Amino acid sequence: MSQRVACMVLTWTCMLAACHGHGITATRVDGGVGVVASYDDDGTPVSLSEVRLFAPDATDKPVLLAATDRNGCFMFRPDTSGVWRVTVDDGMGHVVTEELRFDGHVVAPERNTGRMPKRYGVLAGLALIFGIFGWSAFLRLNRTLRAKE
Amino acid sequence: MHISEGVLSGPVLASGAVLAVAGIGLGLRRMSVDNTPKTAMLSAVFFVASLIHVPFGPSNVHLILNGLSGVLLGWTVFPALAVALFLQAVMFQFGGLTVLGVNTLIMALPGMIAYHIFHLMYGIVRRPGRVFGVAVVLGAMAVLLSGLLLTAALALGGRAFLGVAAGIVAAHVPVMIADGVVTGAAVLFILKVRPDLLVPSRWEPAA
Repeated sequence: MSQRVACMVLTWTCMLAACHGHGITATRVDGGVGVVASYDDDGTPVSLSEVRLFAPDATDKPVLLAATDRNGCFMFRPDTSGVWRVTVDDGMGHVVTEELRFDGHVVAPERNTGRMPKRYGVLAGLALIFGIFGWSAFLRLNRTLRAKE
Repeated sequence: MHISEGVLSGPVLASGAVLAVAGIGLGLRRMSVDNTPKTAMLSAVFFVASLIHVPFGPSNVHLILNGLSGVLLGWTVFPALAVALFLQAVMFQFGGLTVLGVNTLIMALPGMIAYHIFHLMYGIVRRPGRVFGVAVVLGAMAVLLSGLLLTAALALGGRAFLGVAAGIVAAHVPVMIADGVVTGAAVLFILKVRPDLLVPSRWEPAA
């Protein structure tokens, strides 16, 4: 039993590391300034949404409160070396955070683009749903049969 | 209509998780083997419906169908929606794992309310046209209640309730209409082909 619980906790922790953000995604454009463009999961720009900018030396308190433009973009010029954090919040519970490293010029860290294409995700999700509930039915039937024996 | 990671405070997340686990536990206890395929089907419908966006006026909408799931599943709506939300969080980063409890509660609780109202009304209203009307209202109402619960959760995180509520309700008016119509049509169809699916005593084990 304790092994099962430990396995579940480990799985949960691993998934937590890979899972963040909702329907908003953000892309970074690099150059002399930091630019973050945010989109809803259907590609609609997250326009006129609250932006919080966190400097490398002040990670708790934002150094700037602003808003994305009508194209979902926010641009700033860093003045301190380190990792700058930009949070875009559409006010309806959807938040995305992007990080940009400034080292004389803006460098976007290696981006994880391993997100599954939607159509494969849907198929995998459906398979998992029916698998989970089928497994649950099997366990219940098994338990009932054992109780009868 | 999901809340992202990092928006809500620890106590809100914990409360949501505890309530959702209680609902899931009750749902699992009431989920008979015979009822499992229906639960899986509605979980799959919820999972897919949230991912299909349909252009509607200046923006686009997607179905939620928590009202339909609630009407057809009763308490089992909790595990059905929890599984779908979990997979959406893991595969598409909709919501998240720490907010899974709150998101499950936001979606499933209105479904449960719709279930109770529907079965209260189903004993009184028997004509198909009226059943359709009740289902339309409940489908829309479930989305509205989800929006209000979402707003309440955000308000507990320190946001102004009325300002957020107005924005969320306004943004979801098209979803309410679409969900209401689809819920009504689905219930009407089920009433014609498998009316026993609408009678809980036929599929819920005795409490």
